[in-house]
Amino acid sequence: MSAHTEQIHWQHLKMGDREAFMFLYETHYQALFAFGCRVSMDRELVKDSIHELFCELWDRRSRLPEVENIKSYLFTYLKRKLLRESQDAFASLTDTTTIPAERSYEEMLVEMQSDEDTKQRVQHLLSKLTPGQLEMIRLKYYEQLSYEAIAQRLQVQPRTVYNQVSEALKTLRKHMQVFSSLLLFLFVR
Amino acid sequence: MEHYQAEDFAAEASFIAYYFKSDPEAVAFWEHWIRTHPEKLDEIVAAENLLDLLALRLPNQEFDQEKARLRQYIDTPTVSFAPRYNRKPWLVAASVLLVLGLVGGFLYSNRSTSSVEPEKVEWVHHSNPNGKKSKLTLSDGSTVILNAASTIHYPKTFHSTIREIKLEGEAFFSVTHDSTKPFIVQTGDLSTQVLGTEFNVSAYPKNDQITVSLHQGKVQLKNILHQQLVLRPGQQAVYQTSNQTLTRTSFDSLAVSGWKDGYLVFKNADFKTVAQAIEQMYGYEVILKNPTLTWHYTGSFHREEVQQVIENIAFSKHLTYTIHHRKIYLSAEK
Repeated sequence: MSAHTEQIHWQHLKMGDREAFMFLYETHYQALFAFGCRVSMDRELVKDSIHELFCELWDRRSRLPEVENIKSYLFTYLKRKLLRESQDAFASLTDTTTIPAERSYEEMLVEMQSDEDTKQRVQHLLSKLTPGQLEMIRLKYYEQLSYEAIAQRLQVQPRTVYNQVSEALKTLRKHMQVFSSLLLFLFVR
Repeated sequence: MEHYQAEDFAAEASFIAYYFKSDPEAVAFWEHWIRTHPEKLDEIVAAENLLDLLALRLPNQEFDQEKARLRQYIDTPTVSFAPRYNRKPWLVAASVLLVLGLVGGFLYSNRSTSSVEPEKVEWVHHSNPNGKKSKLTLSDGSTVILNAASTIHYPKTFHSTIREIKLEGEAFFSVTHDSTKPFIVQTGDLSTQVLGTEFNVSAYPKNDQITVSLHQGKVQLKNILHQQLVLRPGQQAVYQTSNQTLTRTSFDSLAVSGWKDGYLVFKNADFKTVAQAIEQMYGYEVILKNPTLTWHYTGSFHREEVQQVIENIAFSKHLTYTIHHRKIYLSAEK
């Protein structure tokens, strides 16, 4: 979506247009969620914080500032919210360094899982990949870069990237077959 | 692509674009392709599972719930309370507060009311219409995934000695362990007591039975006649409301609790069962135009659109379908 279209939606939101508001919500949600997971370990908290963020935007719609870059405005807003939450949680501790730092892709994938069992399984699953494969997977599915862009960044042939990603997926799938029944049925023992 | 495996789909740029909904053309292409290649469905689901694992995005179904939650907030005319007041604003927005003086209202059979301190417990309830599921977190941190067409009553803050809730319909519980405060689910005449565990309770009034299916931990059931039954993981209790009998069987976890993860599972299901499940999950009424036609359907779906579900069933049962105003009409192929 172009910055211009976004600005139009922002102006419409200020006038109380629900559809413009929901449009902004839908187009930014997944990016905010992925970003939130970098800042906080608690996915339910991330969900709640994004929800609150948009509730607050809606409540203050007529008094919203002019914003040049809506995406970065939302990101900053969310980050502030999440940090405030974790500060509340760590309020009893004076040492502020206990606030979790940004985490690696691998850690985030593990933390995303809802229960301990699944977390351990995902950890185990990811350990089957080489560091190189994991990095390519991250660029492909988290950064969502094209094979060409990844190839350029890593100074290899696009075909190599594709083969590596495909190989990694095959490995994951092989180990997932046992696991997927567990992931999907989650509570079977 | 006919020979593609899950990992081939998951590595394909346009399939990824379809998955992320980032390219409308790719979405249209793959939706059509998947519809016309039902034999590849397992591989597609596996590919989507791989992407679910790696993409770090909120699964569609949860996103839809979040979106509904926000819609509910902006559609509520009075917004005088700040959302920070409650981390779960839908609780306030969507529920009617029920204030009961005593928990004694829902009598726990083992306990005489007089021994309970007159402690104020503020009850709230949450109801889902057809087509909607929600996830609730109770004051002790236990979570409840409430199925469609179901209502749950629970205290805003649990009583100091007992965690008691009431359910009509179906829910999946993950109960936080606390041996000092039993967790009790009341469903009509049957109460299920647990310490900390995961289980599914189905108590739709239109079915004349209540089933409790245990995934983890241990639960104890008690009916109005004080008959007791203890369940171990993998076991299911079936309570016939008509004659108050309590029996124990095993169960298929996907068929029983798959609904909470967006699964729709049919095992040799007749029309009535299929229609009921579709109405509950999607809010579409299903009407069979040739009521004499009998068939049974076996198959499962994962987070499919209702059209895709009905298309698959229609295809395998040689039916044609029309969808109009949230009603699905099925008739025999000419």
